[in-house]
Amino acid sequence: MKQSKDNRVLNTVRAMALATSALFVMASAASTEDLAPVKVTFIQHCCSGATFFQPMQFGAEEAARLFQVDLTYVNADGDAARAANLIETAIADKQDAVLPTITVPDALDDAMQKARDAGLVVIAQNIDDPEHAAGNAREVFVGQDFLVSGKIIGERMIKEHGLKQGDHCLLPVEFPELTYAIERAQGVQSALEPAGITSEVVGTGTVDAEALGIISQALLANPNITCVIGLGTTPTTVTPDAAKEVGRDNLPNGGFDTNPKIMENIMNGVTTATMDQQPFWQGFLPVMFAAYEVRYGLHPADFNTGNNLIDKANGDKALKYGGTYR
Amino acid sequence: MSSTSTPSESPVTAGSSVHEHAKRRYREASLWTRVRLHPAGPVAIMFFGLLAACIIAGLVIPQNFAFLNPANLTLLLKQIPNYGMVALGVGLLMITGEFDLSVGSVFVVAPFAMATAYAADIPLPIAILIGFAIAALIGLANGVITLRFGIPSFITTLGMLFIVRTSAPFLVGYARSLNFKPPATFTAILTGNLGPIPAQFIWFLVMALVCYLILNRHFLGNHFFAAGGNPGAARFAGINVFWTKIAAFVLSSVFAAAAGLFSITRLQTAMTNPQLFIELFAVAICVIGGLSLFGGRGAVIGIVLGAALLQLVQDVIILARLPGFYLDLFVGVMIVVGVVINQIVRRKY
Repeated sequence: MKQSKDNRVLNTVRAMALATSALFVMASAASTEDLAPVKVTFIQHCCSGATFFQPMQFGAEEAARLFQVDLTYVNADGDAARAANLIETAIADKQDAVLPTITVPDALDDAMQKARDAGLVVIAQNIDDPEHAAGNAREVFVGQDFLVSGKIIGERMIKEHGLKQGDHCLLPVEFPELTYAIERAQGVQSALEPAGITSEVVGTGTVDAEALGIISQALLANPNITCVIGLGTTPTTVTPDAAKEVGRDNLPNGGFDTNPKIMENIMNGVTTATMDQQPFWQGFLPVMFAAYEVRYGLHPADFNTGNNLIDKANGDKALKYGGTYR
Repeated sequence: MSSTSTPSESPVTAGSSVHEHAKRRYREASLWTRVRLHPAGPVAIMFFGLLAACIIAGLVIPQNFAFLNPANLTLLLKQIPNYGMVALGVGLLMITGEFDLSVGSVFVVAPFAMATAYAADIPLPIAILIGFAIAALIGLANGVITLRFGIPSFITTLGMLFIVRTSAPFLVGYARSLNFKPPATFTAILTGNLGPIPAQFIWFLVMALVCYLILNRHFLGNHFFAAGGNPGAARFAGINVFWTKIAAFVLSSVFAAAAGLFSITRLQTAMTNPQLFIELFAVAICVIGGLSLFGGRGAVIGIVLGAALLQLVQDVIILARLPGFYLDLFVGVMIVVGVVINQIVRRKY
């Protein structure tokens, strides 16, 4: 009797195990179907090898790994026409989503509209259209609000160095004609001008030694310059060296973006602060948003990645994780 | 070849009797005519004319135009080698009738390799040699692909520009920025000051002298002019055009690597960040300096003055407080004006 009872228990356990296994297999099948790889093309707008884009690529790849995304990471090499072609290629390649940067207003409008018409998810990253959603067919934008971040660093420089009426700030930037430069300058000026502080923009290009020389010459040309706010990575990186070249080692300076040299200058107290637009999020979030919209129909939202001001007090992690998450 | 050939043109293309006649006429001409006829004549006139204007303005309105400020003059001399060193190598190659657009990437990658090797505790001289070897290999590859397959060097080196630029970050992964802090003596020798003269400017002059000696005092220079001026005639004269051009491709890359070494030593940091448009500025300097885009004509002094003129114009724009926003616009106008003047002089004389 006991053996029979044991057998019944055993059979029940076996049946339950079988049923559980079947459910597990069914659930797994459903999950596998849900997690079929989403095909995403990520278009970095320029500059293979630039340290700025390292965390962005790292973020995109991490999101691709976590959310089963078949990621194609390409580079437009600073050419908006090439970026438009890459969007068209993504459409032809039957990608599920395309993630471009809008460096030149209107240049990608047609291609992005075609992508939307073809059913692709289109999310802009890093640089948005100056007219934002009204200016093109992108669904949302993941990147820095240049105007707000410009205002934040401007206010910090005023507070930190007691800048006042009559002071004059140099605003060096790689490409003064591009959207990021124009809006960051406007943001900085929106903090400086109410305080009676004037400013001027100078173009530096991306050649480090040249940028260093141009900023040095500008400082010599105008001894009344009392602060420098670099509006991009290159000028923010070389400004302390430029100030040193002309014997103005203690010239207040700050800027935008991070790299190991900028972080070293911040931690040494040479540079006051930098606005970190957190390129990791600009890589990670668009890929994640695309995966969830394609799979579950979840609509993403605009995401401002960049009001993160880094100074000596909070710079340790930025320094530690430079090149990956920071 | 017209009867107005100058000593800085291909002797083979001239034909010996015509060339001798032209040389005699050149020697007998007035100084003004000789300046106008020399490949570097127009750039010399533009440079010294602008320099004189700057000196006068600096004397008359020193408060508003700090050109004669010693710090500015030192800075100006520091800036000239930035593009100038790259342009020397590109210029040698242009004289052979070829282009090298890959120098912009070599300028970044070769020094980054030096910094990487140095960071891995490899002795500095060997680390530097590794960087130069990589540069030489890139130059060799440019030359072999261009000449073996008959591809325009403009295309080959444009491809190489992208290949090298992209492969570096691919190879080094996420470590794309390195401190480069060699011994202080080394830094001082490369980027210190000798009185008010920056060391890199002295090195630039030394490199220019080497180029001058190659072009004007060595058989290789003769071969460069001949290979660029008329490759067919050069072959007929027994010159190995293939190896002559290969040598020029390698030199072009090596000079770009040297310029990059000066840059990372000055900044104490090596990054894979692309240094955009260096290759185009180098070609522009050569053209402003009177080198022919078709090869066979040019002089080292033209490259030196071209590099100096480019930086002088930039300095003037900044010192005069002209809108820095449009810096590239002024530089672009200067390039076009320089080339037009060169062409007018070439046609007229």
